[in-house]
Amino acid sequence: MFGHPALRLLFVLKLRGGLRMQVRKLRRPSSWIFLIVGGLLVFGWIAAVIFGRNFETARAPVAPEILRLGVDFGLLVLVVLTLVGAFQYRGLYLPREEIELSFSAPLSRSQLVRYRMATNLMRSLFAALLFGFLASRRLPNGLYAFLGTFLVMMTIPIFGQALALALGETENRLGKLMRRVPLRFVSVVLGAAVGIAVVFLIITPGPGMPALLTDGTSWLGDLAAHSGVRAALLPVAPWGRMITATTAAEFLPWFTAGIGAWILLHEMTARIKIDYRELSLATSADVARRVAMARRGGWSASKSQVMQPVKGSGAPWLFGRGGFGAIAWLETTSMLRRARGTLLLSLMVVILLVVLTGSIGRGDGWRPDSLQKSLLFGSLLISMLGTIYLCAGLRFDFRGRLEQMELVKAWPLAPWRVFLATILPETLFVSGLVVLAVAGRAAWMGAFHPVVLAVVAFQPLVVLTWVALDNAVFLHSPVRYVPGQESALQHMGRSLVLMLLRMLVLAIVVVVGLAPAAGVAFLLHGVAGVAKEPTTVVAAAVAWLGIVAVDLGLVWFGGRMLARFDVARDKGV
Amino acid sequence: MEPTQPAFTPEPSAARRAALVVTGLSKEYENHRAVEDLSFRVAEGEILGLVGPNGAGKTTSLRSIVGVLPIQTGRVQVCGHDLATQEVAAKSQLAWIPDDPQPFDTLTVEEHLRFSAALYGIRDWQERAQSLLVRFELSEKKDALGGELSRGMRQKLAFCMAWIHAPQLVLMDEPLSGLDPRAIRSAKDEIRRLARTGTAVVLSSHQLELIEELADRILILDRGRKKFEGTLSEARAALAMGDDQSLEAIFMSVTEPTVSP
Repeated sequence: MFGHPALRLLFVLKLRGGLRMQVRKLRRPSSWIFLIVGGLLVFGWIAAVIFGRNFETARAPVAPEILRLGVDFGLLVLVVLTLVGAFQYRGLYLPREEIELSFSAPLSRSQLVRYRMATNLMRSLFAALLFGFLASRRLPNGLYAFLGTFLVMMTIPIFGQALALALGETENRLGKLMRRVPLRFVSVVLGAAVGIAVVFLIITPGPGMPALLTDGTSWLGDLAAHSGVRAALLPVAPWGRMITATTAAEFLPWFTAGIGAWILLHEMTARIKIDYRELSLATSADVARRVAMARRGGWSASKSQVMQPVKGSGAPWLFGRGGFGAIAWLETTSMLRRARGTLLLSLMVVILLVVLTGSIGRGDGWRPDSLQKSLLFGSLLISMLGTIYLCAGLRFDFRGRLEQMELVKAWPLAPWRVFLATILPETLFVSGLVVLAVAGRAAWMGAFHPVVLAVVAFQPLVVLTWVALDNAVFLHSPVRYVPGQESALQHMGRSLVLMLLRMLVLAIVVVVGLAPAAGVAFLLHGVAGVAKEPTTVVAAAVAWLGIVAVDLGLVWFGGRMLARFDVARDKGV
Repeated sequence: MEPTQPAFTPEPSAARRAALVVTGLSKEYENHRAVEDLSFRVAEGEILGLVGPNGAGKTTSLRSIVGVLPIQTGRVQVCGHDLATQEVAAKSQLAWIPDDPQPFDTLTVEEHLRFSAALYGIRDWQERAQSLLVRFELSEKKDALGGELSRGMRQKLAFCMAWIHAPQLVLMDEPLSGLDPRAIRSAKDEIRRLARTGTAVVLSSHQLELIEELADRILILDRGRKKFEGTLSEARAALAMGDDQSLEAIFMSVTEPTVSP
């Protein structure tokens, strides 16, 4: 199955090594806590998915043909996603540490393909079991559903490998012509099409409410009546029949055919005469680069491609020409040079938020009071969600500078100044975008609400709080998890604990920052009897000052975390 | 115990059996020709130094010879086996040390050697591994994970992995980078020792003094083309240089200056 005894040995050694690595990482009590939390999270979710019966009991019995259509749709999505993967991993993907060794070793290409397929199958085993159990709980015959789903899930990786090799061969043959086709773009479009189709299926048929929540089945029948949809589902229909079979007579022919197809596909893929070496080297280098990027700074706009600077143009020195200004200029330049990723993400988030909040209050027919309500809630929603999404996606701060920390630590400025200078450009950029979205929406609606002014005044402080806290936490525990890396449970547990900690600190910050304002409001309005409007203005000013004080404290704290950062210890792994 | 090798009697290079014969090797990328019509041979027990400026095609040539890159034009024979038609037989005779060896993060040093031995069908790997670990001063690191090794340690591990199956041909790309002075000396001794047992060595490096010290013959590549092949004395004679002229002087004379973009 593994093609060569040495490759089987490599698989066993890597498996054992992964477990050993996991054990080695459990030296500290905190690691155990993270592992337990992560384990509870994952296994709790799996148990809920497998054994939860809410959907099942809430619904009326589903007609067999509708059930099969649902399964067919699911299978089609899996196939399309496999196609997307094949576009990205053309040829035979081998990790960086394996590729030079394998290609120069006395191994045939067929042996390497067999090894890769076996590795992929082993990786898919868990998902196959999970989906199998899930199907067995939801479909008419548990055993057939399990076996059928398991077989499909073990066929998909082989199918994906065959596709990747076929695409690689096409690229080999067509050469330059194929290289002009933006394959990554095609795969992204395909992926986006699947996503949009799923969203469309979920939200379109219902009057306002997601269709799956109101009427889980009838829309499927309507959709499947379309001849195009039927044609698209045809290739996966045999698998659907196998999974939804209710009798042995119905199941066994499809299952036997499925096993036959698996063997045929496996052997054909292993024996196919394709020289995949150059493509594999390119794919491996590309994956290694992306994994390294993710380990350094996560998947975000800050890691998008750097654009060639236009001659004569440069980022503005917004904060002077001294050390502080230089650091801020560095981050501003990063943002501008990666403008494609920055702008794309920012615009997507802003447009999405404006569109999502556009319908708030609209049901009342845009009466003046509903307009005010829409402005109030819409602005607050844009402010909140914009802060969260943009701060997560735009990481032009310490979260993207892990590999340069040795340099950062040597900068001749007080740590708190380095900290502030690093996070300030991103803070202003995110704030500017959110303010633009809120003000733009108000202008579009042709109305005004004091909350727009409040957003303008408070947004930079709120974003500063968020970014400072995120960066301080990152500097304390600079861990980046990349899918496929070992210790997944530990990383999940750590992420959950850190997120809870962050929310707790944020809650404390808000209370501390707003408590004086609440006190002032009580004294002015409640005790001295001052009118509501002036009280609100004064309380807002006090709240503003309170948050400024808290932000200064966070910047100081961030500076402390930066001073504590140890480049020898905190390597982000 | 060291890997057992047949006794090797040095003879003039031309009279010895060829471990590597490269004929008309060319490699073209989308926009440029990386290697053009390269031909040379390396005899058993001979050390060939491959030198050239950045972008000369050294690494591309080596990666094509070891089968990492497909050969577009030309022929490569390793110990009489054609790389195109007898790929597995040819590869089983050679070892490749890339310029930046990447060990497996989760495997220990000893497991790397076990796997390498299995790749080449070596059964008595423990004895060989033990001997190599001692010679390359890696004994204390045998349980260390690949991901924990420093650049120098990775390089030493790459040597051990290449040596374990007693190859007939070893190709190395910048083999001494990252090594400390003691390790450099020990690596140089090991390369000499390997050649004495009859293994052919192709050594690519920018460290010209290393090539001068170790190589029996040199091959200078520039912009994908062979500029010179022969001994240092032959190079001096061809360029009408004095006997005291170093490889650096020869290199400067033979290669063209790189034009900055």
